[in-house]
Amino acid sequence: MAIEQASDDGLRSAGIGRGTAISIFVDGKEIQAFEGETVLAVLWANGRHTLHTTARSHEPRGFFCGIGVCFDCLITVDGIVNLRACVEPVRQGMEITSQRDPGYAHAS
Amino acid sequence: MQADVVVVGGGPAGMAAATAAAEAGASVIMLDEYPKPGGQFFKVTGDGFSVAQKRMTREHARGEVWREKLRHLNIRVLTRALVWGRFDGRVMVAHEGRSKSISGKALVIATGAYDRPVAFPGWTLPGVIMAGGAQTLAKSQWVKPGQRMLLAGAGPFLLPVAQSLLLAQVKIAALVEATKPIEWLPHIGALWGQWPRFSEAWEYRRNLARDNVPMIYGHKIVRAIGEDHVNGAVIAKVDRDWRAIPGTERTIEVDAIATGYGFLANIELAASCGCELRFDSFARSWFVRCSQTMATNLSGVFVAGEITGIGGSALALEEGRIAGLSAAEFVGALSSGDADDKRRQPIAERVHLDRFASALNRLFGPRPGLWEFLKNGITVCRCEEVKAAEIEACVANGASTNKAIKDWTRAGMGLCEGRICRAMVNEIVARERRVELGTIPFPSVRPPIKPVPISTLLQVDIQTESIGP
Repeated sequence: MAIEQASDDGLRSAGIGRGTAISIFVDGKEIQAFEGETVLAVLWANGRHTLHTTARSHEPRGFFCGIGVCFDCLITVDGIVNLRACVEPVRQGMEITSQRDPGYAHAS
Repeated sequence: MQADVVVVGGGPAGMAAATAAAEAGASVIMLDEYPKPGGQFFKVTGDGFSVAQKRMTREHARGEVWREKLRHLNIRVLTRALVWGRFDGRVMVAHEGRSKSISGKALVIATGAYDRPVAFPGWTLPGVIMAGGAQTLAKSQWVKPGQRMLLAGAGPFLLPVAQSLLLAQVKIAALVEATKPIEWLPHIGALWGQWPRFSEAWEYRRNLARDNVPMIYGHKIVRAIGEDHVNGAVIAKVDRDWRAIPGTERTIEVDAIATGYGFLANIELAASCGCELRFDSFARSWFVRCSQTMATNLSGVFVAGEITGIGGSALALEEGRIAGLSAAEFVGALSSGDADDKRRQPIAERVHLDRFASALNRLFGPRPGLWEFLKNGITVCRCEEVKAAEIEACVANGASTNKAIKDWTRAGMGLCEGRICRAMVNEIVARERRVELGTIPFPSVRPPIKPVPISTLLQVDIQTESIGP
């Protein structure tokens, strides 16, 4: 399986040294990440800006407060739902599922 | 776990409090939600990053000095620790999947603040973010929120945000400020003598000028354009009340918008403990009431930093120092005489800095026009997707409190527990009922004050383990 290149859409700042390259899986697809990054940083840098869609009107949502307050950047990690991408660190091999509509239903 | 003094929050106020208490000889444990202490202001680049010195702001180095003090004083720091309540003097913290009970003779609450959320058409689109989050992504992760961004808000905090974004190579299409420089003149008296603050602002301003960032005064954001992501921002000229003037709209092509219209304080923990609150009519929000020694109405509970009033890091550091000394006095590590002597200088400094903070709040605090979009089909509660019209209808049916609105519409019942919508819901209630915002009570806060998995609540560690001085 091809690994998505880290600099795909150039949202990672150039000229910055990053941690050890690792792989994470997002909806089954392998994506390169670097130790020390948050899940939000990796998803955002890879152009995955719709982190979840809402239950009532199925609206796309990205991140909003970015500091752990708003719970808008919800993701499922290794089966645990409603985690905040902005404060969740990446780990080698972690499996992230995008939450669509009611996230808990999707993940179960 | 136990210590003489428990400090909740590892930002400037918490670090200063922990340091002052430990220097006085008290044993201290600090609890912080993030991977490293520093808070929003001294936020660090994550582990594993290496960044050239010239791309670091001075806050990086200053934060490192404070973290070194914590290490030097053997202050036990629990990071990624989410405090979810306090029972019988024990602070309950979710840490590594378990609930731990931390007891201390004194508690210092320094939980900081977050950007004030402001709704406008399109504000739920991915790519519309708040300024603090934009800065965090840029300065701690070195990821650009967008290639070309618009910053809109009021007040000097947008300047360091812009600086961090520029260092991360974001192109800033414009910095849109709601006030006009001519409005600042009547406040010069209160700002007089605050030279360190001025030189800081001047340095930021000069850096923006060097990068040719256009400053647009007397305007605000009125719409975000895009289908599933922002691709444009509409700004408009505002009147003195910050109402958009029809016909003055213009569109700017951007792929992200960050807003910074002031801050709301994280007073939930203090409120759930029973601390008395106060409403600030300029900031239009609630804070914890405290004495000049940073004592609250509760014996042994002290507060510091933004939860006592929005004032910035310099003020937070002084308040933290005062609170730490008061906590040390409370636990018997300092005599009252010594505590008074040591508090004298930071208390005087606090009065001086507070004059500056009050002037900023008067000048840049939210004005009524900021809430003009809170009507019809605009989403107010992002979690439960409650529209302004539903809240208005609820008020028309007699609802007069945040609690009533929550019961009827679910606004504020989602995972953020009302942190995003509460202030705006109350603006709607105040407007529709024609009452002063401050007459609408801050709702009761009950633990867990932030969402914690049931599995974590059930794994409770209550064994006591002493923390050495």
